[in-house]
Order: sequence, then C-alpha cells, then structure tokens
Amino acid sequence: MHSPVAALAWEIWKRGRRSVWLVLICLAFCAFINLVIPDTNHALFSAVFGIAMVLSVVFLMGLLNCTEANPTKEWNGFPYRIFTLPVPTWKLVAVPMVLGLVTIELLYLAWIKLVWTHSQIDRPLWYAVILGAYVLYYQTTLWSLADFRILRTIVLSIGGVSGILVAVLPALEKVNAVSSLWFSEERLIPIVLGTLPVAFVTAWASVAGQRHGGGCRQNWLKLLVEWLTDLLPRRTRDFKSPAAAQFWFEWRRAGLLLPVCVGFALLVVIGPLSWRFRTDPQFTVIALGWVVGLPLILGFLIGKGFAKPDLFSTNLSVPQFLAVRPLTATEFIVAKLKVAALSVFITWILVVLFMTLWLSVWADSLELQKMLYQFRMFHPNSWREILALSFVALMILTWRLMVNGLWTGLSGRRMYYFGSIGLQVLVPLLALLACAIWSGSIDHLLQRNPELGKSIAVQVLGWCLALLVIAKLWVAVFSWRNIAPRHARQYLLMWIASTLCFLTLAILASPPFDVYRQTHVYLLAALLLFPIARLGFAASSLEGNRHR
Amino acid sequence: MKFPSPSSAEAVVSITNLARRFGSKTVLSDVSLHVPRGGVFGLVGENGAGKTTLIKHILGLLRAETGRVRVFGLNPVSDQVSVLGRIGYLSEQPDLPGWMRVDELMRYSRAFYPKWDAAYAEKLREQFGLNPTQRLSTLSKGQLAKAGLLVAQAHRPELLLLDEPSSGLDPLVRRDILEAVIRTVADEGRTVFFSSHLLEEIERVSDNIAMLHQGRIVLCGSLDEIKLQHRQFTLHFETSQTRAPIIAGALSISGSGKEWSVMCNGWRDHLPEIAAGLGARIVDDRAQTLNEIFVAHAGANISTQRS
Amino acid sequence: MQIQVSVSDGVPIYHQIISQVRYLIAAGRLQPGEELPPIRVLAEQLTVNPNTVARAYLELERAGIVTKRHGSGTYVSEARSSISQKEKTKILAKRIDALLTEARHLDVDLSEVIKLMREREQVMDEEVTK
Repeated sequence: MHSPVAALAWEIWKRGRRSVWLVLICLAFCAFINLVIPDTNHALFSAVFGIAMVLSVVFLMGLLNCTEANPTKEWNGFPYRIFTLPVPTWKLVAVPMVLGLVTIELLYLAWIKLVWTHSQIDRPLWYAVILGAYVLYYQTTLWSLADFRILRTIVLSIGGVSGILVAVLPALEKVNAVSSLWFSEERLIPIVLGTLPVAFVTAWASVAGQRHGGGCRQNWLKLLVEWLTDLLPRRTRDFKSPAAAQFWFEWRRAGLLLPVCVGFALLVVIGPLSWRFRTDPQFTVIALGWVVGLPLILGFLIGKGFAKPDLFSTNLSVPQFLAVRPLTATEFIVAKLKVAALSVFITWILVVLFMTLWLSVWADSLELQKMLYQFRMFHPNSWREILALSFVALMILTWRLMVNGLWTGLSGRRMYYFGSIGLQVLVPLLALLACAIWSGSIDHLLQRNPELGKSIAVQVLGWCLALLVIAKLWVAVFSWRNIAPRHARQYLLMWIASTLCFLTLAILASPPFDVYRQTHVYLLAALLLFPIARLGFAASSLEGNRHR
Repeated sequence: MKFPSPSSAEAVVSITNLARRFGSKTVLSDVSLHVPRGGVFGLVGENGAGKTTLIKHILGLLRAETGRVRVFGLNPVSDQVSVLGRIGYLSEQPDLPGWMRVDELMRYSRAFYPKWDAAYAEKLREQFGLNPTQRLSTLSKGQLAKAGLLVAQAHRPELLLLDEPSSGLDPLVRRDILEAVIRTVADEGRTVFFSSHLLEEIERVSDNIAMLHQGRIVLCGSLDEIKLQHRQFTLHFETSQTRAPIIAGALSISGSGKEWSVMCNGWRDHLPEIAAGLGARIVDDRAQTLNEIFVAHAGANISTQRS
Repeated sequence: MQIQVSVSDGVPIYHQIISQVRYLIAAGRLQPGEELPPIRVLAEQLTVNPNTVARAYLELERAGIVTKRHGSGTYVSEARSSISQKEKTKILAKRIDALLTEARHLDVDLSEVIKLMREREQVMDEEVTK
C-alpha cells in the first residue's frame, strides 16, 4: 500500500468481504437465469430481478457502513481509532463516499448490462443519480447522527421508505392526478446533484467535530436532548420483584422503538400525504391499507433486532451484566414477551387514534363507505364482531412478528440467526422464481379447467396445513417440557384464548357458499397463527447461550 | 507441588478435575481446588493462564466439560438462581449498561438480591463519590469499577468473586477494592475469591492461594506455608564454578563464580548435605516474596517443558 | 496506633506487627492498660487480612505483652512480662548475635558498640519521659 487513500479503501473492502461476495452471488445468479430463460414471460422474471437487485443494493450498503461501535460509551459512528492517523478529515470522509459512489454505479451498470438486457429501463440516468445520492445520504446520516441512536434509526427507516417514493416521482409526471412540472427528470436530476455537495459538507463537518471533541454546537444539542429526556417521568419506587426489574430494563432498552417509529411515520409521512390528497377517495383506501400494514412491516423489521439479547448491538452473546443476574432464562424471556406486548399495544392505540382522527375529520371516505356497505351485505349479522376480531388479530400478529425470532436470536450462534433471516428472504424469492419459470404451464392448466385447479389447490393446501398443525403441537410439547409448570400454564391459557379468537374470526368470515370447502383451510390456518413451539425453544436457546 | 488444602466438606467452591478446551486450545487441564469458608483465596497466574475461564466456571457461564464444579454445594449451571443470588461479582471490565444512571443501577440491582442493605449501599455510594443522577457512560474507568464494586458488595454476598478488579486502576481505587475485601472477610462466614496479577495485593490479604500456569495448578495451599517452604539460599563454593551447580528439584539457580543462589521448595533440611556434597556451604537463607516465587515457578515449568 | 507493614522485605506481616507493637510499648508510646485497635479496624487501616492481625494479637497475648478481655478488646498488659529468665536470655542472645555480626562486618570495635548502646538507651528514656 503506497498511499493513505489506498490503505483506507483496502480496509473498507477487507472488512466487508462477505458483503461483496453476496452481491456478486446475487448478480451472477440473476445473470445466469437471464441467459437461460426463453424470451417470453419477462414480467414475472422482472419481479425476481427487481427484488434481487434491491437485495444486492442492501448488501452493498452493508459494505459501505463504515462505522464502529464503542459499547461502554454507547456510540456507533465513524471509527474513532482512525482519527489518530495523519490524514486530513476531508480525505477520511471522502474515501468511503467516493468508494461508495463508484461501487454503486458499477453495480448498477453491471445489472443493466448483464441482467436487464431484454426489457428496457426508462430513465436509466435518473436511477443512476438517485442510487448514488442514496449512498451519500446514508453515510452522512450514519456519521452525523451517531450521538442520537434512536433518531438515526428512525431517520434511516423513514428515509429508506420515502426514498422509494422519491425514486418513482418521474414516473408520476404523466399521471394527471399528481403531475407537476417539478417531477420531470430534467428538473429533478440537477436538484439531487445539487444536494450531494451539501451532504458531503455536512458529513465532513460532523466528522471533524467528532474528531476534535465536538464544538459547542454539538454539545448544546446533546445537552438539550438529555435535558428533555431527564424531564420525562422516571421511576422512583422500588421494584417489587426481579421479574419487574427485568421488565423495566427491557422496556427502557427496546420498548419504545416500535411506537416511536410508527408514530413518526404517521406524523411525518402519512399525515401530510393524507392532507395533500384529502379529496381523493381512492387514495383513502390505499392509505388505510398502508396505515394498517405499517405496524406489521415495522414490527417484522424491529422484531429482527428484538430477537437479539441486546437490541442495539450486533453481538449475539448474552452481555455479562445480564448473565450474572440471578434470574432464570424463562424469566428473561417472559420480560421480553411482556415488553413486546406493551409495545404493540401502544403502537396500535396510536394507529387507532390516527385513523379515527383522519377518517372522521378530513378524509374523503366515499370509496371506503362503499366497500363497508358491500362488506355489511356479505355478513349482515356479524360484521361488527368480524371487524373487532380482525383488529385483535392484527395486534396479535404484530406481536407474533416481534417475538418470532427469539429462538434463533437468543441462541448466540450467528449461523442460526442470519440463516433464519436469509431463509425468510430466500424462500419467497425462490417461490417467485418458480412461479415465473412455470407460469406458462400453470396458466395453461388453469385455462383448461378452472374448477379443478382451484379444488386441487385447496386440497393440497388443506393437507399441508393439517400436517403443519400436527407438527406444531408435537414440537410444542417437546420444547416446553423443561419450562416451569406455572409459566407453561399461563402461556397455554393465552394460546387457547388467541386461537379461539382466530377460530371465531375464521368461522365468521368464511364465505356463506362454501363450494370449495375453504372453511377448513381457514380453520387450520387459524390454529397455526399463535407462536408456541418456537418460544419453548427460546428458553433453551438462551440457556445454551448463557452457559456455554 | 501441592500443599495440604482444606477438605471439600466445608468448601464454598469445590472444583474437581476440571478441564476445558476452546477449539484446539486447552485452556484448563486437570484443575482441582477447594476454597474454604471464611477466608480470602487468591488466584494468581500470568495472562492467558486460565484464571478468567476458571472464574466463569464458578459463575456458571461455562459448563464443566469434564470434571465437577460445586458452589455452596450446588451446581452453578442448573441451580443458577440460588448460586448467583449469593455471589457478588466484579470483573476487569464491569459490563455495566451505559444508558443507566447510578441510582437506577442501584434500584435495579436491589430487586434481585433479597439481602440488599439499602443504607449500606447509600453509605458506599457517598464514600465512593458517585453522583446518583450521572449516566454510567460518562463515568471514568475508576468510577465504573467503584460502581461495580458497590453493586457487588451491597447485598453482603457469601462469596465475593473478583476477577482482576484492579487492573488499570489508580492506587486510590485499588485501596477501595482491598478495603472491600477485608471488610467482607471480617464478617463471619463470608468468603472472598480474588484473582489478580498484582502479587503484592494478593500477598497482603490472602489466606490461601493457588497458582495457575498454562492451565495447570502448580501451587495450592496456605500462603504462610508456601512462604515458609520457599526460601532462597546462597551457596558459597570454595572454588569458582564455571557452570551452574546441578541440584535436583531446585526451582531456580543463578549466580557466578563462587556464590550461587538456589531457590528451593520444601527441602531445606536436606540442603546442607547436598551443599556439602558439592563442596559449598550455606551462607544466607532468606524468605521469598510471592512475586519471586511466582516467577520461579513459571520459569521452572517452561524449562521442564523444554527439556 | 501508627504502624506500617510491607510485603517486600521478606518478613511475615504478623512478625512486623508484633515487633512494631513491642517497640511502641518499649518507647512508651503505648501505655500499660491502653487499648489496642480492634482487629478489624487495624486490618482495614493496614489493608491486610484480619487473620494476620488476629495471629499477631494472639502471639502478643501468648508472650504476655497484651491481654484480651472477653468482649471488650485487647489491652496492653499491666504486669511485666511473665516469660522465664531462660527464655528472655535466649531471645536477647539472638538479637545480640545479629548485632555483633553486623558490627564485625562493619569493623566496629566492641567498646564503640557499648558506647552506642548507652547513647540509644538515653534517647529512649527521653522519649518515655516526654
């Protein structure tokens, strides 16, 4: 290595070797498929390629995540140890940024040339520009907001979501409802390019401030945040029991993340959008779908972090401070489950408040009222119960998404945790690919005999679900055998209550004319929804992690 | 070399034939020791000798692959709650959560130990000079150690377990830690298990010690006995010796010309005959500090391994 | 009671405590009937194991220098030492051997040693009368 720049760039590459391999594998896989498939049927393959491309961009962002954690100081930002090298700050900041720009543009070019050869991407230049801009914004946010962990998580997640919206703006140029001269490519590209130097300067200023001990501006902001958090009511009573103390610990650590993220999204994204489009009935329906889906999506994402012993660190082993607490593993897990439940409850309260405010005050609910009317016609006697039970079911589902990963995350083995995440991404992708490949023959089969196709599908599904239910109950008995009877009884009661709720919903909501006998499919699916087996494993995973 | 160690009947910690490997590396092999109730037990060893691994076995953070570990007569892995509730633990880097404040840390820890003495904890907090509203991430290294010591001590544990608590700390904090050790053991029936490589501290406060070298116990027993048995003799030869005299079983031999220093362990009665046989007489006989004993044993083991 | 101990000079700690207590008594800084600090307090002050201090006190009690009153602490004995004349001679002979060895090495005459002893006796008397 002959120059500091080369050394810094080499370090970034070396640390992210695994991400590079993942990106190349994605690319190679899709390029291979592209070579092999026939020329027809590109729509479905485009979906697969699109998802794979997004995945490769995400992996690349992982590579470009040039931060290091300092556990005692609770800080995760620009690597502090680099500050003692004899390199000026602007170079330290420029190397990862330029590296990021170059690699993402190369990746984009590779995708266009190797994979998207048959279909044409309109506006290729716009996507190139926006991808480069995202890399820069991502790095700037990571470094500038290093002191404000929760705010940074929120900004990154909201930024990611709204980034997708911004990316499709030029496509909306021709759509009459939202067209505006400002959405055209010719105007947007210079605007975005203009913000890039601002991002660089912001990153440079923040990193320089961190390097030289923070100026008064930074201290002032931090002091303000701390003063605000100190104003919040703090617990002054003693804890009644170790379990209560552990609940408090987990709540302080992880409890408010989901409500704050959802609240922020509602306030900053969906709220203003709903005001902008308050005269559009179609929009109300779509937005309602997003509002209801938001806790589920965010619950899934946050649940991945919640599954780890410590939400904010990537270390999967039990921190020593917790490992020497005189508390059984079951009680740790009970604390986590309770925190997840309270978190989900508060989130849904926020969602309901927003919905009541929005729908009653300023939304155009014409379309919505029509749909409600049709629904009431379909289920004249039980529509209120169905709505109430659906609401409860959604809350339970969100809770399930939060605690789903506990048995892999707490095990302490990276392979289980990342493997399960990988599977959850890979299996739908492969299913989509399989559909794409055999879509032709499936279409043909369905055209010839629609009834047969549907009934076969229902039968197969029914048998699969029945086997899954039996497997679930067997595994549950096996995994719960070591847990204290008191906890097992309490959890079993909860399982029975929720499953009854789901079953009632399934019975009430099933269509009156059951030609294909779909009801039993719904009933079987209802039995599968509340987690029981994997939570039994969570306790023994934590034991194994704590006592290696 | 083993000295008579206390019986396992009244031992607070009883380890028998413990061995542990991490991958291909053997960290502990055939370790047996018994910590009697009501004293200070010092564990010494160089870096990488296996002290922290041994202490993690006592806490139940590592399972005993071969051998047995019993704390208060219980298995620390299966009876973790009862064992951990009677232990106060301070490690080299107290892994305290940085987002907590000092008063929150005290309140949180109090919930887990029924014998927590709130007045005593408050007295300790004032003595250590910890501000209750300060966040742990803003504390210095010494203050963090004091906070960890407060949490470990305030519930008056039956066993105070210290894993190199003084490393990297200034003399004031080290004194606080030693005072905590002495205060603990002055109360009837409470025990301290103290691992350190500041041998001066171990020498001041220990009743019994054990020395670990490359995963094996090379010394175990009462500190007074060990110091009594290890002595350094100076031999004066009539004629100048070109090479070091060969004395079987000596821990270390050094010197030049007519005067040679021999450090031996336990056979001071035989030494006059051996010396006479070599044509020398004993002119000096002095005790050894623990530091010198430790260095001699570590060096002796290396040389026996090489030969 | 101000005494210092150190681990680095090879003498066991309890020995150091015993000899310093004896010196304090001989120099009059500890009067007969005065209470010695409790074991626990002295252990904390010196940062040594309480068992070591307990052993020192036990040896002092055996030598008759201090007496332990049940429940209320350890006090300097009123009575003179009750060691037999033979033992006293033995203890002193050992010390004198060390002194004479040292003097021989330093090439100091016996009469000079005796003169020095008289001078030191006078100094000690002055300290007692203070």
